[in-house]
Amino acid sequence: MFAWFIRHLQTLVGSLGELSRNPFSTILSVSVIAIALALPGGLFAALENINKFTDEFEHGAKISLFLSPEININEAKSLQTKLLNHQSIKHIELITPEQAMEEFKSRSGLEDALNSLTKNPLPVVLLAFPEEETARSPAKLADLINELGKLEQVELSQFDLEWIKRLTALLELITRAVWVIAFILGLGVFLVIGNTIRLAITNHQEEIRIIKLIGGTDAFIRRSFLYSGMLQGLIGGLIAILIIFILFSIISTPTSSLSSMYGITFNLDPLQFLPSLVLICSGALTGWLSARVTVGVYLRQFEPGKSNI
Amino acid sequence: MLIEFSNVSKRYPEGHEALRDISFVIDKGEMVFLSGHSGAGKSTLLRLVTLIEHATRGQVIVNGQNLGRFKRRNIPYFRRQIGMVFQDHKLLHNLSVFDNVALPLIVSGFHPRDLRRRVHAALDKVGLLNRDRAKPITLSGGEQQRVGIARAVVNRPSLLVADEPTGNLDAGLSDEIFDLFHDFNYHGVTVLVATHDLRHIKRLGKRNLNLSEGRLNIQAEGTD
Ligand SMILES: Nc1ncnc2c1ncn2[C@@H]1O[C@H](COP(=O)(O)OP(=O)(O)O)[C@@H](O)[C@H]1O
Ligand SMILES: [Mg+2]
Repeated sequence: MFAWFIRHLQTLVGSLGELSRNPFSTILSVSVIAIALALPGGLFAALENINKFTDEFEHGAKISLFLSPEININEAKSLQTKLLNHQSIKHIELITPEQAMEEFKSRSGLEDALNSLTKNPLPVVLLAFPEEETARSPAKLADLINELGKLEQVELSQFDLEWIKRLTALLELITRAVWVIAFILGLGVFLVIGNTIRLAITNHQEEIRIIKLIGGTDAFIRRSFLYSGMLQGLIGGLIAILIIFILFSIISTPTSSLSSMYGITFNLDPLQFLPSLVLICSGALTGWLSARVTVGVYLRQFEPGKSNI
Repeated sequence: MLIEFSNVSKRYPEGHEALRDISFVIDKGEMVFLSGHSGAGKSTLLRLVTLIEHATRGQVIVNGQNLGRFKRRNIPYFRRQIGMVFQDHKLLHNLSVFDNVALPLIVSGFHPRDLRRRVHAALDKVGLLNRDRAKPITLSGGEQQRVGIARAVVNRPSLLVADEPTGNLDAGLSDEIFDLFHDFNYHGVTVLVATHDLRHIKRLGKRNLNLSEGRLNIQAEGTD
């Protein structure tokens, strides 16, 4: 087991040496791999941020229940307590007609006109804040609004759903597009690594022939190429993370100041630890697979009857 | 016997018939020369023995194994039983002499603990123990060929196959190389050497398989 480990370690170091011996082609292919990985990685990080933004918005999502005029404050309070037990509702606020009137006065600037009213015409309003799970799903939200609207104490239950539906659908579409882009670029990484491995095999034809003649198995020959492919993917992945990080720190400040102009505090998050790890690992895995396939194809030329020794 | 050819023919894809209806037997522990002019088919015959090529017709048996139906993935294990020496040495020039000789042991997963001893024993046999750290390129042609021979025997193969091993060497150096083969044969290794140098065949008095234009001529003992 130890000898096995040492042998793998030697191959690994050997492939590192091999990569550094051809600095130009190595830098070229690693850069292409890095860019190809940075694009979907960066888009993914951007999507995460948009999701975070809409999540924050949905936290504030609330359903306004305008109660019937004959419902008084006490009846409204008992309805509030009852609805608090509803599993889809997280929290309920009660707005008395007086509070509503005050707010209306200060907002509308019609203070004098409103002061002349002898009776407050506004109903009691309950603001229902749905649980997160409900808030995130337009269908569940619609069900909840419907259900609340059917209560006899409620005259009108209202929530502007359309834009949330649209936003969620749009995000879904973009997410899928990012996966498609990731797949296509992953294929690109696969081909780029395959090409460098093919060149490496061509450059080492003589060595491969000799090793096969003295009884080296395909697995033995494959090993150093597999490490080389995996290393390229790994290094490409690390550089991709670096690119995303730099890109995000460049646009982070303008994004914060822009959002603060709209009265929102919004901080751009770079790619998180787990997705970064996934990105690096998929780079390494793609490199490994690509080398495996390429070596499998190109080692066939060394079979009996196909070599001139 | 160790090697048996029965009505073997070999036609290359280009259409040239390199071997025609060859039959012979080589016993375990024998030393046999393979002679003939350039283009007679010597290398082709050795390629069939070492599974670098497949016979087009007929049957080749080596070490009890029929090479006609050999699974590709078993070829490396078959080759580990054979030591091969080439006219152009086929050394890896980015490796030291020691590493070149160690390579057959490394690829067959030999335990690193005993590796040193085995490599040094092989280098000692060919008289190059003091050059183990050198790069092959710094050695003379005769020394490089001796590294090639050390590499061929380090695995202690039962069969040693050499294709014109002294083709590029002068008479004195050739004698040394052939004496080495003779010595391995004396210690029980079956040896099959292709050469067009009839002098060694006479000198060592071994059996000679003479090829001309892909056909096998009379088999002589000690003469041509
Ligand atoms: N790979 C090959 N493809 C086609 N023809 C070949 C090949 N190798 C050898 N030959 C032909 O087969 C014949 C025998 O060649 P070879 O076995 O190399 O002879 P020798 O080793 O005795 O000089 C020659 O005519 C040669 O041109
Ligand atoms: Mg030849």
